Parts: sequence; structure tokens; C-alpha cells
Amino acid sequence: MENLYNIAGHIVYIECDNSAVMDTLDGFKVFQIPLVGEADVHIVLEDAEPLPISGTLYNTIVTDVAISRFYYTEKSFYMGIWRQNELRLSMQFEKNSKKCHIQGEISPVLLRFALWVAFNLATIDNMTVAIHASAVIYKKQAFLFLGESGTGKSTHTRLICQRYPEVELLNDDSPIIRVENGECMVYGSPWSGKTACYKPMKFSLGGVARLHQAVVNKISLLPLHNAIGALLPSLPPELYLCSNLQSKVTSILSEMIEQVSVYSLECLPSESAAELSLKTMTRTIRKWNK
Amino acid sequence: MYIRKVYKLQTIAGKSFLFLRKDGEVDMTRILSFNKTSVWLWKQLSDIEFTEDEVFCLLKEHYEGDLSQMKQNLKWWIDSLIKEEIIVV
Repeated sequence: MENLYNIAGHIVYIECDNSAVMDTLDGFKVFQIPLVGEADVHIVLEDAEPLPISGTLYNTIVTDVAISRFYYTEKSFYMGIWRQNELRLSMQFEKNSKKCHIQGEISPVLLRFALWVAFNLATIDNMTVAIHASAVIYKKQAFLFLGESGTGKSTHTRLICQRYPEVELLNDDSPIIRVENGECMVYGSPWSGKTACYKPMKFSLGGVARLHQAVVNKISLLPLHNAIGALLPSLPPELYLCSNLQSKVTSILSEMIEQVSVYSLECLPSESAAELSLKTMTRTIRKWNK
Repeated sequence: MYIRKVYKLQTIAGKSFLFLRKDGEVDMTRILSFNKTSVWLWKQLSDIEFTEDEVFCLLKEHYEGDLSQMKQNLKWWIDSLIKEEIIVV
């Protein structure tokens, strides 16, 4: 068991005979740990053709490069990734054993996505979920910046880090939220988008802001309804669109909203926007502490 | 009429919400918030078939107030959930 990783405190074992495949997973290396006891999540990469997918379809994601479809049955979740109308990758996740099998095109991009989905499915029961965000660390707390792709999350956190040298980037695409002893923690992860920022570290959640491009800088504290609307689109649709998993996702969302303030940040890609967001978000006292 | 099983009341920060659906999937842009009476009604009506008159009887046994206003509010509540295809007639 050499492909063993500690991701957000969960022991993940990736069973794969082909070391060249594992070498493509750059972000995973710093999360690698020595041999320990039983893994929490067991993912098997099989050198085989993709398997036919079955079950009830609950979500479809269409991107420029592929179509991903998600299905569930009583005992399992399934994912298929199609390119040019051809099934390229299949994944089966067994709910009870938390064992995941992946077959087909093991290209780095598809594999990283499949591992991300598998990790989310395996750890949601333990109040753990990935969130689409750029995260910075300031005074031992993590601050999350959410937004649709292309809104300027990475630009904004880069500007914050430039303006405030004491601030550090934790993750630029998919940090992981885990509720531990009732407290929301933010972990670095092996999934960080185009920025190679892979940090096996954790910090308590300090605040959240959802970015919108605008012609002036403005930050507003969101009431409950709007805070839900701000957070939900950044949580994995592979989870919350499935009726069986929805309550687990909303439990984490609920903890986040109860513990920290959620803001709407309308901003330009400017240093003054970086000052406005960090000053506002860090002067807010945490809503709740255990 | 009955409440579609696909709908589950969610609790977020101590408040109750229902995520609406569109074309069989959760519509992230539309969330209904439920007050205490709505939550009570929802719990009474989940997993059973009911008529508006039966629900009115339940309601007036549990709550006090102007009965005509109560009936009017109930009709609005049921009609709203029928319109959203949460309650099926």
C-alpha cells in the first residue's frame, strides 16, 4: 500500500499497478503518508475498458471537453464520462464499503476529476466536502472566495497575497471543508486548479465571500437566504443534486453559515478590492466558538 | 393529494427550507423557507394522502384563531405547493 494519502484527515488508498499513472498526479505527492492501518477510502484504478453505467440519472455536467453523468442505485453511485459520444471513463462507488473502482481512459484530467468525485462520495458521511473556492490563510484562519469560473477568484486572492505579505494562499480551486468537533475547518487539497498550490494543512474557517464582477468595489453581509444561495452553487452538484445526499451537504452548509459571516463582494480586479475584502472579513468576530 | 417524496425539508442554521426542483433536478436558484406552522403541517402530511378539508380539521385542532382566516391561509399554502408541483392532486 504505497499510494496512501492523508487528505483532510481521511486516509485514501489508491490501488494502481501503473506507477506512470500515479506520477501524473502531481498534487497528491505532498499528501502521501507511510503505511498505516486500514484506509478510509479505497480507490482501485483498473486497466480495463469502461463498464456500462446503470441506475437512476440524477445529474449531468456538460463542459467543453466532456459530458459527465451521475447515477445512483440503492447500494452504489456511478459516474460515466463521455467524449465525442463515446464512454471514456466509468466509476462505481459502493456506499457500504466506500470502495471505488475506476476503469477506462486514465488521462490526468479525467482521473483527477474521478478521484475528486470519489473522495467527495466517500467522505460526505464524515461531514467533509470539497468547495469550489480560492482560499487564503490569515492569522491562522482560512477565508474562502467563491464565484463562477472566470469571475476572478484567483486574481482576487493573488491581489490579497501581494498586498498583505502575511497572507498565504491555501488552495486555488477546491479546498476541503470538514466539520470537526462542531467546528468548520478548511483543509488544503490535491485539487487546486491551474495553480500548483498543494498544502497538507488545516485552519479554522474565518469567513466566506462570493465574488461578482462590478465597476465599483462593495462588500455586503448576506442574510440567511442569500447566504445559502451564495454557498450552495460552490458545493459539489454531484452530491447535493442527489436526494439521498442532499441533507448531508446542507448539514455542512448549515454549520458554515452558523459559524461565520457570508458576504457578497462586488469588485474590480484591484488592490483596493483586496483591502476592502480582507479588512471587512477579518474584523468580523466569529459567530460561534466551541 | 399528497406531497411528492422527492421533497425533503432541510434545516439550515435553525430554519427550515425546501429546495425547489426543475426538470427532475434541484433548482439552486429557488428556495422556499418554512415558518413553524408550515413545518408542523409538512410533518403531519408527509407520507399520507389528504384533502384540504382534512388538513383544515387538523389545523384547527392544533391552532387557535380566526377560522375563516385560517382556512384562507391554508388554501393559499396548499395552492402554492400545488403550483410548484410539490403537492400532487
